[in-house]
Amino acid sequence: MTFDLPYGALLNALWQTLAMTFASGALGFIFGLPLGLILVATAADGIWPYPWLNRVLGAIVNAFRSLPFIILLVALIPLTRLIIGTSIGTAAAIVPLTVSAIPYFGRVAEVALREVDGNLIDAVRAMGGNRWTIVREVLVPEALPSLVAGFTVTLVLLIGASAMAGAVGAGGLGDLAIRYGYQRFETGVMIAVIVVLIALVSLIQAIGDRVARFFDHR
Amino acid sequence: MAMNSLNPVALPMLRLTGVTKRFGTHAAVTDISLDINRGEILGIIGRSGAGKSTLIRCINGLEKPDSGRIEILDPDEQLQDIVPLGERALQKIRGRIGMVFQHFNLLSSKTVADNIALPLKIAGRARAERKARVAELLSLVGLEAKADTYPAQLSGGQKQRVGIARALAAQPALLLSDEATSALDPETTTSILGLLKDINRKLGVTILLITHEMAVIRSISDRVVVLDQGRIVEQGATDRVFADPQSDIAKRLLAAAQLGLETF
Repeated sequence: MTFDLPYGALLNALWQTLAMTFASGALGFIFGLPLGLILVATAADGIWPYPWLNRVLGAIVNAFRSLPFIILLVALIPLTRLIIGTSIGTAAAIVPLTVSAIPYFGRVAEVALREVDGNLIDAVRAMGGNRWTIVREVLVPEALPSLVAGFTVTLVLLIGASAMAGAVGAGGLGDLAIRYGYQRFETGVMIAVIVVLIALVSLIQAIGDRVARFFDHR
Repeated sequence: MAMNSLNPVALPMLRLTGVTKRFGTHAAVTDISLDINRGEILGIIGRSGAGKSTLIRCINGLEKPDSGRIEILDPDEQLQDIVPLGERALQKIRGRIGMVFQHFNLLSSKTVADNIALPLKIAGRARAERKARVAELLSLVGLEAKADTYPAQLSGGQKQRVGIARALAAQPALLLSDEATSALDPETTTSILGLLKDINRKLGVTILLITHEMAVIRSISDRVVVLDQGRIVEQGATDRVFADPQSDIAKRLLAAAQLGLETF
């Protein structure tokens, strides 16, 4: 028995999903980690206390996180046009995905960084370390296992969000499932997409767990 | 000797004058005046909440006293008041003071060698120099075989040895010990105190240690200061205080220690 599936389309969709997920995930990490650091540092008991800045940033993060992704996708069309030149396609979808990944991973990083034992910060201050030393030698390395675990969760979330990006013609697995599986009643395609998604999520989770364990010496 | 002819009156390593620190309305330490001489081991004892930790944190500038002076002997043999200093200047001073903690405070993400090397990295020493110094320190504390181990795999006593090696890395003239043996069993306590005594004798490092255990004071310190409710209630040579305690609190701590000795 053979499966009569559009393998080319499936492969292409997988590639598009991977591109959207990892590009926005990487950008979310690059901008979200500093955001998390600023949120932790500027807290009243942080290493760089600026409670008003903390509140303003917190409010902005909350605002972005409360927008449903599909709304963000449409609302950001002008910004996407400005950056990518078009609002349609895989590259264009990376803009709203990144914008939603940054505040999400920012909060995830904040939680991970806040868990670092304050006594370790004291120890490094007692050695003459400055704030930058604390960030580089204590906060980030000590929180690394949790940061990796949080990044894994962020990637899985982005796979889900990228399915919605099909609405702006971004392609990807979600788009394929809707066009073939749902609109054309091709159940085989639908099942194939779901199987690929399950495999993809499981793989990302397994790799994430491994990397987190590798960095964990506690 | 030459040094004495330049300094007819020997300056102390550390001089506290009228140090007071409040948290809100609570006075943590009140009007502490104290000299710590070069090369001595001074013990500060008191119950928990007596203000010991606050005092030690004031000495390396982790807390700023509300009033008083904290003068530390600088490399030019001058006493320098650290209270008015800003954060950046304090960071330099802290590099010359080592600190050992009750719960070790080792970084779990770094190996033993990298933990010990951190103060040297902060001081901007070159990699080759750091490596050589770490090897020296590992042999000083008897942990040569553990260089590439992570702290989680060490026993409490070994962790504290790493903590001591780290505190000594940048060759401080003053070592602060904040309940360094309080989390350790009696046998390990004895070996850690032996190590501190060795360091004091061999390297001439001045040691200020705070503890709530009289046994620690007896086995290691030359002089003892008794703290109660943030004030000095008694001070003197360790032998004298043990033989003839004047303050209620010293008598009580001594009684507790004797009780403790019987149970061991």
